[in-house]
Amino acid sequence: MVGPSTGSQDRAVTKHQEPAAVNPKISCALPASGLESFAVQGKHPGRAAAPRTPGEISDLLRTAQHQQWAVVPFGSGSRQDLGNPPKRFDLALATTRLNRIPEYEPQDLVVRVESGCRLGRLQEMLAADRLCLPIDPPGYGQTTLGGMVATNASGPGRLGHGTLRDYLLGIGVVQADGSQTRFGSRVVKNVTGYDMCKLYAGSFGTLGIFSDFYFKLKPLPPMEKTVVGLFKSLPQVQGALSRLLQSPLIPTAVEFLNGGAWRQLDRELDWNGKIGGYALAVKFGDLEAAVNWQVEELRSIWGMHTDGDMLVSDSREQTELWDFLREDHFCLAAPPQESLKLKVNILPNQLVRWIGEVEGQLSETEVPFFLRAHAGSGVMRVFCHLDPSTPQAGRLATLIERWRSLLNAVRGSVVIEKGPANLKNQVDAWGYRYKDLKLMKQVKKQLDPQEILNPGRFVV
Amino acid sequence: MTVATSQPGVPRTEIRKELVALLDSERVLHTPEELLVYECDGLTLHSRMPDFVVFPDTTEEVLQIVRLACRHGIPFLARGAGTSLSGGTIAAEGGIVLELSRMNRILEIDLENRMARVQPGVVNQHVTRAVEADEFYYAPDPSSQVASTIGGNVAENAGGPHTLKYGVTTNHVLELQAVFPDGEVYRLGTAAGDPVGFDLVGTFVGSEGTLGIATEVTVRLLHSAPAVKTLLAVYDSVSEATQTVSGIIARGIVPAALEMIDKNTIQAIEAGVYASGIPQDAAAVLLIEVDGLEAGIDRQLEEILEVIGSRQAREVRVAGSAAERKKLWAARKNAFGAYGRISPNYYTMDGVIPRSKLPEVLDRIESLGREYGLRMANVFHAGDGNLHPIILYDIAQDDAREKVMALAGAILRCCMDVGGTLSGEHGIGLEKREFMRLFFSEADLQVMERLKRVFNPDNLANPQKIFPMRRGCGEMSSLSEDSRDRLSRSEEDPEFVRF
Repeated sequence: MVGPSTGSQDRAVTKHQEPAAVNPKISCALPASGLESFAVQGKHPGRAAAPRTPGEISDLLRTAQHQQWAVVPFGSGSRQDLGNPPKRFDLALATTRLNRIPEYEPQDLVVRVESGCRLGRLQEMLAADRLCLPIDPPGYGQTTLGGMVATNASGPGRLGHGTLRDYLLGIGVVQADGSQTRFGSRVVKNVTGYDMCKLYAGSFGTLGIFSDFYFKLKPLPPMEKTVVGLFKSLPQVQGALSRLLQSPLIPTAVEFLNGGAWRQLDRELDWNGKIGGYALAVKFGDLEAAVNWQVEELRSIWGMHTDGDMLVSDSREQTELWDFLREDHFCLAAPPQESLKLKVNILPNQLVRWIGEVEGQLSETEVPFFLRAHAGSGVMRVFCHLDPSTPQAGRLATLIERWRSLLNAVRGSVVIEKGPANLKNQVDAWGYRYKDLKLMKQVKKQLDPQEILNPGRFVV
Repeated sequence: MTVATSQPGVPRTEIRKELVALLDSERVLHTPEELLVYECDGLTLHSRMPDFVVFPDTTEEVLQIVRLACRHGIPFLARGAGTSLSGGTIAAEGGIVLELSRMNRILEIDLENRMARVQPGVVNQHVTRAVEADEFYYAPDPSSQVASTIGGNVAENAGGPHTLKYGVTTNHVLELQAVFPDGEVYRLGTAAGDPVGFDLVGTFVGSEGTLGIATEVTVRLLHSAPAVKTLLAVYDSVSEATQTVSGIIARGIVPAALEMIDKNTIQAIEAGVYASGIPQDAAAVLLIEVDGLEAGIDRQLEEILEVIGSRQAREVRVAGSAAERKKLWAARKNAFGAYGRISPNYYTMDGVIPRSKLPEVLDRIESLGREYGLRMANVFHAGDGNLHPIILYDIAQDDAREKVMALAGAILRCCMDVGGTLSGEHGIGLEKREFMRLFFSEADLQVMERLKRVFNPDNLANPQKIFPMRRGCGEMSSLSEDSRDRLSRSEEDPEFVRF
């Protein structure tokens, strides 16, 4: 049904090519001594290269097509735990040298950034003009824009600001066949041709190698304040969340923490705060009058329904709090081979019910766990510390499958964002089984017919 | 590969019989008199009559019609209110138009999850109307919103004045159900957290009906802002107005809307029923709206007034009541209708430029108008840099059409020269497909064609839209060659369906 010409033509071409050289020369190769740093979930590449230009990416991909190398794009590596382990891994394509910021138009609220540029560096430059790219994913300082686009990264601020797809205006992509392409542009509104930026955002490096992006920027809020509410029971959390989300308040983030996560945070930040069962951290960012009004309003609508609340408005304390909430490491203290991190995508109003379910079912397994959620967005994260000497991984695999089937009706999902190999061997990291998977496979087949880009790691 | 060529000329009567069997005869239009009204849409410079117009009620009926069309190799497209300004709903190769106006039910409103699931024929403004009592609304607000449908808004990725702060259609669609030419119904995306896999919702929105037909759309609802302030600033100079725009953005303020209306448009509005007393000799007017909480809204307004104060505005009016606010907006939203009072015909264009290039591009457009001897007007989303140059003309004059098209081309080139794009919200459609090479390289176009092939391999879903005609020999030249062939055959023999 799908036009087969590309696939069959490419196969025909390949057949008549010269046999591939064992180790062809690549222009921007990195020394073999550094290859360990490109390991992805236990697999090492045969070689690594760091192109400086789209032209060099293009040369690399043409060689890769010819050699049938599997290519894994590599930024800071902070997101390489995501997805399945690579099926094959011949070339690590490092974006380290693509780290320029070639255009910056503060008056137009637009910036062009190369894919290897780190988010921290970009934000620092923007902050000097009171601007920002309002995306706050884990790995904040280190993570590269390329990795963020590939995973459509987001953090607590997604409630108020959305995810990276909402800010990607233009993209330079080197296709699997080496052709250099460009979609979108530096203007904030554009319906010229298909919205390819949306297709590439979150495509996990499987459709092309990104060279650079245009992003829309936002002004930094003049003021931010945070209210942390503590709650004894889940019905209390439910009540507080409903009251907040149905009010006219415009929080930029509402983070849920279960008791374990809250205790950990309290200890790490040395707050000696009140130990509650559950916590909701609510951030407001706006003009001073609007922030102050919202803080008071929230305290009054929560009123008697909390087990106490605390206002965090000192800038250092507030930064510390959100740095911790954004990053995972306080929940992932266990060695990598014992850590499990799940992302559970649910309808926003089902959050508290799911927290209850998950707490109950995990307690039965005796696996230590933390829960966190972007409340209001329907994104919950489950962190577990698995004991490798027990069959816990197997029990978790069963739970993951059970949760996945419970979420079928709403097209929800459970994604293994990080997990030991013995668990990933048992369950697919994505578990995506909806009918449109067929369409996704065809998209992949059209744009990377030889499957050289990140094979085996994504849903296709 | 194209089914149509292997089955030349299926008798019309046969196709009609099959359609009637699916829908009954009242819901299948086929006579030239009935079809005439469907020969064009908001873009009146092009027209082509479809062979059939059908009125499905359900996803299942859409599915059966699409299967029928694909079985016989007949082109098809969906149509809502027909307000497309780029020829998106013109049956460029004849075939079947699926008029979705009967699929106009709001299927589900879920305020806890802030979403509504609607059929594609639901009128944009009716979504807001259904939830406004609970202080929610649907944000994208194209000027056509009293008529245009959600299905059409999805196809075109519609924008509107308030997208400056709140984003366009694609930022507000969570999930879709769609029928694709493979004769299957799919659900794409999800309202449950983040979708997994490729963002097919984002890919579908703005694809102008060339991938398939959306039969259900789950949209995001927003809380209505408790406080809104609207003001009008009148200028004697266009550049003072554009510098006000830049000044506001530079202050770190993102207004809900930031619209500019030029002199010719002011005169057209003031001559009509939506006259709001704007001085007719003004060079430009800015319509500015800020929204948010009561707390802080006055500060936002003050800051904007400070910027306006630093520029030479002749007059500033702040709407004191909801009625005054409505009146200010009525002038803006009905501007297009008002051009009829000052010109027999007008052509509404759509292009986007970086905001900071507004002064130079507006100057350039004005001098281009003079060069071509055509009057121009402009009413646009200044905050987004989304221009809507209006070419005023009289079709009765010699070469009017050619002159208009030549001027339009020159204006688009001017937008490209400053790093802009061909369209911000009206789409490419038939109107601008031959300009696509100004923006995209051959390699870019090929990638998009490959994507299209996944969903619409035989090019039956809304053919001739978006992509330029292939020139010379190339692997994809066959599609447009086929369509030309089909057209000429049909004119010789009216017995056969024209596709």
